[in-house]
Parts: sequence; C-alpha cells; structure tokens
Amino acid sequence: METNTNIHPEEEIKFIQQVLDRARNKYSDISILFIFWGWILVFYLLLNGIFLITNMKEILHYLWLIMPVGGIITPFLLKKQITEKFHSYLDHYLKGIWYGFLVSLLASILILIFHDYNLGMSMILFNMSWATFASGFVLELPSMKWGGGTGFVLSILSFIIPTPWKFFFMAFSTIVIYLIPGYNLKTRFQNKEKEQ
Amino acid sequence: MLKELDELLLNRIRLGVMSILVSVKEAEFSWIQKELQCTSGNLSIQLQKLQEAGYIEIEKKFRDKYPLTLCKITKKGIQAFQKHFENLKKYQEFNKKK
Repeated sequence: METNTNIHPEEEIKFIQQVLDRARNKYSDISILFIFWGWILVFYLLLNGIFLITNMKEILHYLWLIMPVGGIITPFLLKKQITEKFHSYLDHYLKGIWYGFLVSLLASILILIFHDYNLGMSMILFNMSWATFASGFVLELPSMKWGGGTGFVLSILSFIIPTPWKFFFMAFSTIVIYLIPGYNLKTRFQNKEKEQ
Repeated sequence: MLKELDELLLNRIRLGVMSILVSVKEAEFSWIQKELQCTSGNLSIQLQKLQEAGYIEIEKKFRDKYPLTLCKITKKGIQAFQKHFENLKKYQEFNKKK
C-alpha cells in the first residue's frame, strides 16, 4: 500500500527530525579558501617587508602580481564546492558574506592606490576580519569568531604601525584571521566526514 | 484527526524528500536518493507526485555533459510541510490523551 494510513505520529516526527538533523548542518568546505589566501597573503606581506628593508624596491613593482594569479586559481580550488550535490542555506549565506567582502575589498584597494596607503591597508585587514567574523557566526565556529574579532583590533592597531613593520604585523594578523580559523575549519570537516 | 494530515506526505519517501528540501536550498536527485536510501525508480515517481502537487520544483540540466536533476521546495511545499508537521504534533497530543 503506497500511503500508510496506520499512522504513528511519534515515528513520523522522529523520522522528520532525523532527516532534518542530517541535512540541516551540511555545508561546503571552504577552508581551502582561508588556507590558500592566508598563505598567499603571509608570503606577499613578508616579502614586501623584507624587500623594503633591504631596499630592493624594484621587485615590489612586480610582487603584487601574486594577487591576480591567486584570483585566477581560486575558482579551480572551489570546483568541488561548485559541483557539490546540494546547496545549503549556510552555503547561501556564506556566498553573500564573501561577495560582500569582495566589493568592500575593491573599495579598500582603490583607497589604498588613490587616496591613503596607510588607511587602505588597515581597511583591507578590517574587511578580512568582518568577513571571517560573520562566517564564524554562520558556521558556529569559535576560532573563526575569535579570529575575526581579534582582527578588528589588529586592523585598528595596524594604522599606527609604521612601514615597513606594518607588513610584518599584517602577516601576523593574516595568520590570526585566516590561517588558524582555516585549519580549524578543515579539521572540523575531516572529523565530520570520519563520523559519517 | 487523521483526515487533517496531508495524504501526499503520508508516504515515507515523499516525507523524507520534503524534510530534506526544507533544510537545504536545493539538492541533486542522486544526493536525495543516497540520503533516503531508496531506488531511483521509486524516488522518481514520488518526486513527480510532489511536483504535480506544486510542492517542489524540478530543474533538469547538464553538468560536464552529464544530466543533472535539481530539486527545490516551493513556498506551497514549505507551508504544506509545516502544516503537516503541526498536525502530526496535534495527533500525537490527541493520542496521548486517549
């Protein structure tokens, strides 16, 4: 018989709850983004600082090219997430957060180039922080909330730190805002997959 | 009491599909099949019934030349699911009092 008229509401409710619990907390693993961009930024910032101190300023004209190369590689890193067999609401909210981040990052870069280098750098750090902080809330990941929250303070402090030390400070900040939460998210995902 | 329950959702597969789709924005046929551990034939039939009732939308497309079936719940589906869940709870209360 296709439709069961011998209903046990407790069993039906329990079944619904089990399916909801399994499906509700699914989301795509975006730790690769945090880890990839974390290392790119740390590498870029440290080299920037070193080349400034050692007076190798000619190389700095080309160092920024790391960023667009990273931008080209990023979609390939996300291929698994794009082809995932489901899209959860968490994925939807995260997409919104990171699209918003890209827009505010663009504004920060324009300010950095055309208006105030110091302010632009601090704004970039601030943008990284709010996006990580918001992602931490969506994913309920404390290390991401802490990373983003600490990033707010670090971005304000970065404003008063002089160049070239600012680059080393920002490299450290990137570890706090991106790398630690990124590896933490990756571990959580791996543990979740082991449980299943 | 039994009459207030949505007949369409008295089937385990259909109820499972609705429960999944109410929690994710959209899902592929193969993923739903894996979650519910049912045959593709049975799932196809149940999805069609839900689509005919306006509870879900089904989009067929291609990814890398492979066919892809994407399912998404509609507003009508969400309301029907919510109402069914509330009625199940009322039925549960009614049974406890008996």
